Amino acid sequence: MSSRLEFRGLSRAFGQAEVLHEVSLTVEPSRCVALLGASGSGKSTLLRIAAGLDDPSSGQVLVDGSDLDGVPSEERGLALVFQKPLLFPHLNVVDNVAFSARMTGQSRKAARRHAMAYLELVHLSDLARRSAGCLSGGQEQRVALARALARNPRILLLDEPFSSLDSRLRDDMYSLVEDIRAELAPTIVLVTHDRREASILADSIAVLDEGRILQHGPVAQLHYQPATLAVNRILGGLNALSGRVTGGIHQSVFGRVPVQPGMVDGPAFLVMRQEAIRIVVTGEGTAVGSVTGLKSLGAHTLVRTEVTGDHGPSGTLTIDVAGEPDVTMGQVVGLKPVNDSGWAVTR
Amino acid sequence: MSRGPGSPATTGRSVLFALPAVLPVLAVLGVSLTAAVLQSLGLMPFIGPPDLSFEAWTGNTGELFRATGLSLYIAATATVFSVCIGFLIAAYVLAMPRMGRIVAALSAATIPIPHVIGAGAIGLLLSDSGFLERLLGMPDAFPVLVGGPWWIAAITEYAWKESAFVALVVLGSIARSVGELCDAAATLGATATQRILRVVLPLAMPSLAVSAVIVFVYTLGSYEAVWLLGPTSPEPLPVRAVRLFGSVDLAARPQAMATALVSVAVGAAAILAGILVLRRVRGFR
Amino acid sequence: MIPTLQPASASMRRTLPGGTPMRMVLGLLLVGWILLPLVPVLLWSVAGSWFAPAVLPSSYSLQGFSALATADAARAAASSLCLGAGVAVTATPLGYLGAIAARELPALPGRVVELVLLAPLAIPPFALVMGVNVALLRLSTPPFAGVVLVLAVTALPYTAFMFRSALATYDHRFEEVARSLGATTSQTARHVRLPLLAGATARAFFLAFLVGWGDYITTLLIGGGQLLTLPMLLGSAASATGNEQLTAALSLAIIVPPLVLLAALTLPASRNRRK
Ligand SMILES: Nc1ncnc2c1ncn2[C@@H]1O[C@H](COP(=O)(O)OP(=O)(O)O)[C@@H](O)[C@H]1O
Ligand SMILES: [Mg+2]
Repeated sequence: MSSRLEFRGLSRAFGQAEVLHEVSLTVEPSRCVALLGASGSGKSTLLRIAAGLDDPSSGQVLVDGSDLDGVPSEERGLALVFQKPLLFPHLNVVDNVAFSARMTGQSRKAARRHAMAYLELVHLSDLARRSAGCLSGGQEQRVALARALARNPRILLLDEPFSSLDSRLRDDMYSLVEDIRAELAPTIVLVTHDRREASILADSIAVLDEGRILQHGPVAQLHYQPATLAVNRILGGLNALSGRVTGGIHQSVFGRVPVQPGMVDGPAFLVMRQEAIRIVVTGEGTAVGSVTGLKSLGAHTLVRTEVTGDHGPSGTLTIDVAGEPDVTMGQVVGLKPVNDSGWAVTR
Repeated sequence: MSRGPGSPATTGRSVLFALPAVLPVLAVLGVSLTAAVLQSLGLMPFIGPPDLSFEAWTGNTGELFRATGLSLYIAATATVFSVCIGFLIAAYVLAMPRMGRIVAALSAATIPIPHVIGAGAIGLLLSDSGFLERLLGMPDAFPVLVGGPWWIAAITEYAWKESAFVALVVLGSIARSVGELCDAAATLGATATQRILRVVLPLAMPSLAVSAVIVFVYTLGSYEAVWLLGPTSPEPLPVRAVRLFGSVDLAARPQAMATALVSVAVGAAAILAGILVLRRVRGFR
Repeated sequence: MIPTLQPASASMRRTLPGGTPMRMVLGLLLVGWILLPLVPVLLWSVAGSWFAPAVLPSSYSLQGFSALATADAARAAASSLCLGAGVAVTATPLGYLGAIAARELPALPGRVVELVLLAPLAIPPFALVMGVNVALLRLSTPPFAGVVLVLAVTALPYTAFMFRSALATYDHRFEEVARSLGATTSQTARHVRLPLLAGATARAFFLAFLVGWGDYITTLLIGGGQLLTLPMLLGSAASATGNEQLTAALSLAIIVPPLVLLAALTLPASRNRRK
């Protein structure tokens, strides 16, 4: 029952401001793609266009290859879960979930029976008779999810549905989404500004910045092989050292690091995730740096070092160390990449 | 809403605040109702000694009943039209971005117009060879609207003024949430008609019910339109009361008071019924 | 008085059944419904002679307005103005006090105060006046004061409601924030409470003014013909036949000033909001 969703050259302008620019993206059946971007980057606009609540200035939305242009929302068979739960205040929980079945003309009884199955899926069958106004935030969002799923959507669109929940509830919702994927296998587009959420839930991530898709690929690829500095930054990468690529080797203060094949010679940035660098004793690393900052993240610590070398201007490298690192401010340490090869980008 | 701390000092100050507002209301209402009851029973005559008599209540019950029935008819019909047209205006304003703004502004601009002016305007529009009849080319079959048997001109005046009021109340209560909820309903498969009937209408229901009660009670007790636009007989409650009140025959006073008290009682009954219905509506949620 | 409208959402727009022509027709019908009763008023106010079946006046003149330029009409306008102002000046502060009290009293007395403030809505104005008239006569209250008293009680539900709804969204933590930032009680009142409640005060004043400005029945019954206001003139003009020009001119004289006031109050506010 899941479908393939494709955006083809989609643009949307509000007056002068172009909010989406030539967005093209394909989501294969039963896959989950996370659309990651800062707030205001046009994520909600893209979902609203997919759901038929807004019209693109140009471009197409295709489901299983057929163009949805002119098809009203109610006939698209896509379900959208909004950032706010938007439960109907005049209906109780089970009638909210039964709403779509009622709209197709089923009897109240049949619609409620159908709805109960979905309430069980989100573990809320006990609250079926509650008024929609008397739920906690997490419960509201679960009802909204059940309501969307009860429509048997070909494609499920989630617009930052968990962003207003606290972190423990959010983890519960993540396992709920896993259950739903295992059971119903819908095609999912998840919009989020949280890269952790994107990494946990999605098979692949599409990075949206100022209305453009910068890169779309598997989660690990986005983290370790970003297409641009912007993608690296959006996925939380803290390190980019300027230098030069010659013959497949990047040269910088960090030393000579072999990079991906196919890099043409010229200036380039070496992108190294903070998790992919280790602190070693001086002499064993490929570079040395002096510690200029220590920032605790609880179970992890970010160590900032100033790296100077003979291969270029000095640079800053941040290393993510598990636990409490055995270094002090000003100490000179050796630095070594976890893998022998690195990743270079030109912009 | 957060209440202030309920400390004795705050409470004392609040009581002090409440008095200047509450006392005049209680005084005027109390004096008015008491005096009306006493006068209707002949215990507070204009001149002469008090003399208990139920004549005003029992003397002409037929006319009193007829006036009550007529007032109920006018108020009920006017309420139904006001609520339906008011909801239509509100739905239109919510749905249409540009034209809706214009309709909203025009509709709100009629609210400050006093009923006596509305009645005068409807008179110029609907009267025999009035503006509407001229617009339609003076058809022979043009019905008697002003002063006619069905009180159409008076009901139209109430519906005209009060539909704007209903629209204002409904818009104030649902404008904020209805757009998003209609979006949600559309993605759940609700068609345009279903969105109106299953989402917008239920959302507007509480405010429609409240404004219906207000419109009903208001039209029941309103004098100007029925006086200017209705036939001379039969008389609805306000017209009968005012005529008897102004009568040179001082014996008419008690009857005027009885008529006034009947309209107070009918209004109170309507409010009670409204509260019960509203409870139901809320409980049904 | 015009509620702030969210921009109509796309699916709300598609929510009106029927296509574009249907929506156009509905829009025109609604505009017609709202404006049609005012068209003959406007036309009659400038008509010279206008006999059936002519759809438009056959000649135009300002005789309706010139009939207004009499000493009686000027006195009536002054009385109406005083009546409106008197009711507004009385009912606005009382409504504010009542709303504050209803908010700050504990639950039960608060409800009672609220109910008392709403009670005048339940009593037909003519019934209220008839009963109270005897007492006013026995106390030999001047008619003007009597009318102001009764109309202020009639207007109180509206002013109290305006302040109630403003206070419901007025979080009194704003004042606590101001105090914690070093404002004194009086500074808090002047710089926080006053500006935040200014809109509600203007609306309440306007509504109470209208109650006095446009009143007919209370003035008629208490004033007993001694108190001449614009609506009284209108009532006698409209109830007689052949006075269409005067009726129309009087109607405009009563409608236009409050509308100008309303526009002056709301237009700058909505323009600011759009910016
Ligand atoms: N109806 C609209 N009219 C004008 N501008 C809009 C409208 N909807 C969204 N925008 C603008 O489009 C941009 C992207 O909005 P949105 O898609 O909601 O971003 P996101 O969901 O990524 O936070 C924002 O700058 C916003 O101001
Ligand atoms: Mg968004």
